[in-house]
Amino acid sequence: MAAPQQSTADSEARQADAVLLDDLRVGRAGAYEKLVRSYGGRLLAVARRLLTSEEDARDAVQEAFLNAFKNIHRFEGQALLSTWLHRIVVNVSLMKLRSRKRKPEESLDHLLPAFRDDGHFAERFDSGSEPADERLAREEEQTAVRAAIDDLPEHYRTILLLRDIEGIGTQEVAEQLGITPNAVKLRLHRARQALRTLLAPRLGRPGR
Amino acid sequence: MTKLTCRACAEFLADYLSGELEIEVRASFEVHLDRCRNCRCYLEQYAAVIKAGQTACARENERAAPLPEELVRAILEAQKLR
Repeated sequence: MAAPQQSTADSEARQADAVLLDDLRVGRAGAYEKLVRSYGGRLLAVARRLLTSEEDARDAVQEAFLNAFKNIHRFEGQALLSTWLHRIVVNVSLMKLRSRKRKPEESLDHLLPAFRDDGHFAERFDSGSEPADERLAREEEQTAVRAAIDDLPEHYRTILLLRDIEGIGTQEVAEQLGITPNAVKLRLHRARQALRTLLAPRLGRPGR
Repeated sequence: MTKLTCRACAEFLADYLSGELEIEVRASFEVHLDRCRNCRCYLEQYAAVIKAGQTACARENERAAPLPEELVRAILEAQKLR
């Protein structure tokens, strides 16, 4: 059963966190290194997705760990260490994104569905013989799904990553990016529609 | 009850999936969905790509290589200098 396993894993993670936190707080030798080695790889994966530049992603991870070391005494242990570190690297990555020279927003209208004058879709969709979610969950589809996300224009990709992948709420994304919550929702919807179009050839029928 | 077009339904997909549609709009949406196979298929695919992105990125996190050694060293050196 999934729930008890999850609960056991969560409990073990919390126990491991508690030991590591004690070591970090008393400055035990090797504790910082253990933190970096335990969580660094995943944090770099998150930063790479958001920033796309390897150099910026590495800078973000370094800055995130230095922030974490500095604030370790404020960490109250309500969340898992992994969750806390994840939020820090997302925030640092967003600061880096904001500091970049703003690019003009690319249109993704060509990836949105078209409609006839009577309001019906211009295209017929085919659900195929296998449910779409099961088809896209196959191992061999993972590279294509990741590539499709990377193919989205930056303004849309960032919001899709923050909302759907990194689990940041609409209001917080709006505040971090300096746009309205409605703009976040609209861009997220368009990004998902564009992603569907990009993956359409794998969903049973060629896309538009 | 308002009769919705496919175009209107497509605009409501995100709010429908997040449970944010008002009751009346939701009812109209579901009536349209019952009658429109094309919209049911589009909704299925829209939901599938959200899940697919989450699955692919979760796998990417799980399989992330260890941090490059030079970056581990750089972080620990930077910490010592603080």
